[in-house]
Amino acid sequence: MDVAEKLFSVGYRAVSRVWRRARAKDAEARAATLVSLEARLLILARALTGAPIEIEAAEAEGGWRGLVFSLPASYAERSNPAANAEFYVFRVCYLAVQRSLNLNWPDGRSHTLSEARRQAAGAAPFVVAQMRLRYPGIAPTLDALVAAYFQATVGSAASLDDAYFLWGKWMPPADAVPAAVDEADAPRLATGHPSPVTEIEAPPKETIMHVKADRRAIEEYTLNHSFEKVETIEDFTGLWRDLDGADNLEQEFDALGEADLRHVTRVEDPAHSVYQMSLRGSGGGLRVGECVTDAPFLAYDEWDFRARQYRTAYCRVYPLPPPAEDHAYARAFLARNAPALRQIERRLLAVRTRLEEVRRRPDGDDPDLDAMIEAVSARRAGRPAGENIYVQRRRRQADLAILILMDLSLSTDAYTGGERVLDVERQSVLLFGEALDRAGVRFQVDGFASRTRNNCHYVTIKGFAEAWTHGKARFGALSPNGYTRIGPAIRHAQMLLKRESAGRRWILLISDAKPTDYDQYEGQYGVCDVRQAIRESKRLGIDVFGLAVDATARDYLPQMLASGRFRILPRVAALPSALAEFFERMVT
Amino acid sequence: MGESQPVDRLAAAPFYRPTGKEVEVFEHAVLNRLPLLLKGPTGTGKSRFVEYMAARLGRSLVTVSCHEEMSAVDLVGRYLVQGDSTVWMDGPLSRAVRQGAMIYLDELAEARPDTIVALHSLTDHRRTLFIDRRDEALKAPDSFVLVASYNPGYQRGFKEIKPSTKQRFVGMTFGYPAPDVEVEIICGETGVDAKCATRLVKLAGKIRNLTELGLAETASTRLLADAANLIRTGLPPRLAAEVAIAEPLTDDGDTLAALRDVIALML
Repeated sequence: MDVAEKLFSVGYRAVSRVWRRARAKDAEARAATLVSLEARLLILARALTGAPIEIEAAEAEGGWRGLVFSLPASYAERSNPAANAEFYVFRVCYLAVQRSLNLNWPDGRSHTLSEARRQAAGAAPFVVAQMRLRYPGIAPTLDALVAAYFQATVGSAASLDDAYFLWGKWMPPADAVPAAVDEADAPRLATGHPSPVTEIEAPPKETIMHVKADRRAIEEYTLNHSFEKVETIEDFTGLWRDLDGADNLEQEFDALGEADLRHVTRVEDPAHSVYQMSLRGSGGGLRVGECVTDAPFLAYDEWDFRARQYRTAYCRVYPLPPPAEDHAYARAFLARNAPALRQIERRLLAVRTRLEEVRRRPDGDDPDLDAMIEAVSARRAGRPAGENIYVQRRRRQADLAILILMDLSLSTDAYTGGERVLDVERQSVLLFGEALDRAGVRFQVDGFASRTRNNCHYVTIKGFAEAWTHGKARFGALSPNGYTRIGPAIRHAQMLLKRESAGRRWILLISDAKPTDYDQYEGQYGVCDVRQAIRESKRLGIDVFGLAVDATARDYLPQMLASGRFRILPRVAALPSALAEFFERMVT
Repeated sequence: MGESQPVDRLAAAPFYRPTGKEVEVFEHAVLNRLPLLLKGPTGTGKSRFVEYMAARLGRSLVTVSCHEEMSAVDLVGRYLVQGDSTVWMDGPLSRAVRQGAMIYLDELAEARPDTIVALHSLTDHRRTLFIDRRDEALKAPDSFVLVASYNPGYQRGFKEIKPSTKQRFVGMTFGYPAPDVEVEIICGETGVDAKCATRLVKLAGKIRNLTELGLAETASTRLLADAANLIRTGLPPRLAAEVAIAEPLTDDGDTLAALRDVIALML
């Protein structure tokens, strides 16, 4: 390579790098991303289909399967963000029509990507015709998109393939149900695992394959030393080697980008690094076997919405001993938040005094107008005038029992608005509990988390009969753990509340409200089980009210609780006042 | 019974398009002197139906919008001190009973329980209003009709009518009408053409899909009629639907954006 050649290649590379970067930056500025549009598109999809659709990020163009619409993670083909957002509206509308016509692969057999795209493109004219008929307002967007795609590629052989972003691809049906896991193979997951240190989001995948772990081969594996030190990626075959557990995910991140995360196996080994990918509505066919432990547990039924029947004694709830007491935490927190506490207390007090107005008393705080007018008119009429013409305000025990049920799953470990959800959750409950205690209301505070149906943990932080001094000291020790299997927690809470004799009994559920667990408890299955558990409560005369801090709760809570029975808070900071408001509505 | 009514009375009645057997049920209930309870979400034509029936039956109508501060005294009446003496002032209920009118208690569940109990003696075979303050028992004439309405979906669990009260009424549920009937209602109410009304009704169908999924109240026939009126007087259809349907339903940014998308797709 002579000097001129070398100079040219260096120069060329520099220029092209700058140009590429500028292009990428430009594309970023005008792109519409699924993350920013998801909430809006979700509502749109549900309105158009009338079904509880979920939205997930696609590998590329996406399509629909069952209740899932798969959409590109970002789109930047058009000139500005609004026009690119229109593309998403178009896709949702298109998928809604395609879904109503039931155009998709009828079976779970595997098809190649090009087959799937060809099939989608073949069906496109029919879908588009229906679309124009049903949604006349789509015409301008549709025309613009078609023009952009087909004029750009006119005359080229690839025109059909390039349109795949418009028409998507056909996808296999929702529940290509993976084989149930053998009892012997089911992970036990009895032990807690250390929380991972590094977490990185992986590119999305639409379909997964379950791969059975080959334990025998793993055990028989003998250590080889390979002298080639190049990091390589190979497809997962159900075989792995025991590792040193070092957290070096960040160093190997580039290599991992090539990994195809569609093979799924379930293990109980701890992980120090997590390269994660979320998956929506996969049906999660995994059912875990029973596991045997010595600890005392209570078995509760679970509702299987597909079979429309209960799985009897399916979930095991282990009531845990209360957490360790740490008086310093509660004392310091309550001292620091004295103004907020006074505010809540004042609100509870206002409710109470309004409630306990006793009219027609011989003495009291205010004159009773009705009684006074009666007395005056009676005297004028020559009849004996009553003397009970005052309104008295008295303290009275509210005939009320509240069980506060706190979500302690790992999702509460997340941060919103710079604050950890769990921290805000426990601080709000601490404030509310303090106010309830001073108001003399009977209440209990419990927490729950789960790791499969075999391990639903339920911890009583403050029992109905316990003194609040003990209860409040236990908040400091709460830590996030496991998943959110809401059903068994509600059923256990019902059981505890049934013993209470109060006239009104409430379960106040504070959660991100997305039912999730390791085994099958997700999507519609989880939502339907929670709804069923709430129905059971209603029959027992127990009301359930839901408070959620997470904005995504809007996708789940309304499906589980009747309107007026839940509140979704925009910010965690709104929780204390929402609790006071709940109390006001509850007793009036 | 309907046929025997004079024609001019019906001509003066407000527009109402029956969606089922509600007119017959109402007439038979009146014939048997039974009180009526109309259930259903807001904007489904409960109040309009009562106005229509009052006109059709030739009764004067007394409407009371119930609220949580309303007491039995507000309904039945009170003594007022006037100068050196007191005068009795009939409440709307006593007045309606005396006149043999039709009383309509809108959103009955909002009223305090003690207020509702005052109605009990009027709603059974006694058909008598006891005015304790005057020591008077007011017997309702045959022409007296009691109608109440409530919205079972609204504030469920917090505000409900006690079963002992509910059992005293003949009940009727009002829902959103079938699409073709709703088109007819919107045309009749607002005077827009059938094409415009059909589009609005289809739009409402999509938005009503969301009831189970998040919106507490949904696109009612009243909202559609409002939008249709705005369109008739010249507002562009999309804008009319946005201000009359989407905006009243939600304050949430994402939901609003999604509703605008639906409107843009359908109109």
